[in-house]
Amino acid sequence: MRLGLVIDLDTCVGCQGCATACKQWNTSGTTGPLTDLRPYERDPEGVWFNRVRSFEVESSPETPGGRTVHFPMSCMHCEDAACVTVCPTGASYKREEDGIVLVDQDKCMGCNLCAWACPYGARELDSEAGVMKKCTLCVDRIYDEALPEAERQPACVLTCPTHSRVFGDFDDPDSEVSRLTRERNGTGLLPELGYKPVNQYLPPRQPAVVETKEAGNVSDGGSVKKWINKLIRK
Amino acid sequence: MKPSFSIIFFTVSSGYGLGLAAVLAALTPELPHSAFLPTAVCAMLLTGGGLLSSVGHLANPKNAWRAVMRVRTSWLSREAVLAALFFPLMAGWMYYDGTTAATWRVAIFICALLTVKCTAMIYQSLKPITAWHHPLTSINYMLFSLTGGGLLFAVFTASNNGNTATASLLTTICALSAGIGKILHYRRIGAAQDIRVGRATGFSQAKARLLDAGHTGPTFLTREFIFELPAARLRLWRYVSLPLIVLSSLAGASFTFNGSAWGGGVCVILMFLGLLMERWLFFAEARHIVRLYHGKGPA
Repeated sequence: MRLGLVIDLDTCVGCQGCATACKQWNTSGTTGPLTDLRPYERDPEGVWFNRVRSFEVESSPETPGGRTVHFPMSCMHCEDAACVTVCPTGASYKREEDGIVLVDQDKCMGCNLCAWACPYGARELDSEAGVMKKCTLCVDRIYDEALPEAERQPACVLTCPTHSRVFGDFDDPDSEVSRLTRERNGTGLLPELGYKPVNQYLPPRQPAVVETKEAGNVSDGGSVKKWINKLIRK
Repeated sequence: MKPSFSIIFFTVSSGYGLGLAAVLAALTPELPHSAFLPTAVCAMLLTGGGLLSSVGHLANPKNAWRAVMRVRTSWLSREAVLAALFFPLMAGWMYYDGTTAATWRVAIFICALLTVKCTAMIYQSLKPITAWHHPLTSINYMLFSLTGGGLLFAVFTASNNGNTATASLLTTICALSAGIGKILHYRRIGAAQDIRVGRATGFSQAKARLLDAGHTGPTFLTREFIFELPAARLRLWRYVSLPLIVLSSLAGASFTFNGSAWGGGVCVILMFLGLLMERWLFFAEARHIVRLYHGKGPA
């Protein structure tokens, strides 16, 4: 199995719902609590597994008119995960059975090297716990048999109001994630680094071209209408 | 990258200590026997001090002992194992009173230099930091380590009226090569094309810029990876640190060549300061890809 997410950049509206749901679930989940520093002061700060950024893309032949793209980023659960390779303690590991990358909180020494090795900013040090924390793909939800089957999905996926996030197994060619990636030309970020990120992004669809006609000479109505208009304006 | 003093001090101090051990192993017969123990102890103190300082960087030091667990993949793990091997090797060598037997000397020479190599590889192996991901990184670390170690060795030799010719010559050669290596490194940083924000987000067909970072305050990511200083100030550090290192080590080599341990000692300290500045710059100038997702970098 190769579990991961498909994120549709066409329909994401940047509502931060996924980031908030992630924070809520994981704060009480296996890696929680996710520390919040100065939560009621002017400069609150804390650990988040999922952050949504917004970018403006300029107009080009491929993106006529330019566009705003909301860009959720979390762990890509890379096939060739550098964060796991560099970890000296063995705290960072990738599960053979489903490809989820996790941190063993009992082994981590908080050296930050895995965060340095990750180009996606998927790992954040919890300064209070002194250990590295990261997206678990809600491993404690997706296998929880006490939950109804439809709810055995990551919190970000369940909460997304525009269904921009889909969770599934990329090894199964018939899964929705595989189908969407195939049909919509999904891509992983920064393929040139060779980490083979599992999560895929679906590029925004091309906006349909609306046909326009030259207006030509538009009649301004008859002279009576003109005269009435003048009268009214006064 | 945010420069952190504990790491800067660790790489410089351990670099000196391991360099000194490597030169000591290489040039054992050159050193008057009475100076062997102080030199070996100095190498161990510098290395140990550096390693202790590196622990200060850990958020959870009680798990530091686990750092030896992943020798097969992690350079940090390899470094930890070699560093752990270094101390018993040195202690054994001291117990046998600095024997000139090739076995001890070769083992310590290899262990010391490989440890420096592993330290450098921790940084060199990181693909998201283009400035580091290049063989020049480990070449620079090893050459600076040998320059510092060579100069220290020459000072110990001079203070015991030994023959400093080889050590001074070695220091001179290493200092010049290290200077050239560092200039090449600086040129590479200038030439390395940054990955653009557009490419990092997959919108390579047009320019892209950040509208909203999604958070109002600083985060772990911005603290750790976004360290921006004016280019002019960074250049100034280059112009101060590199000449300081190279000139002080050359001056030190000439002092020790003429038998002046005091002059050499002052130069060792100056070079140490220069190296601290150079290491600070090594971090300050390195740019991590994550900064692109925070809108820092070419569109």
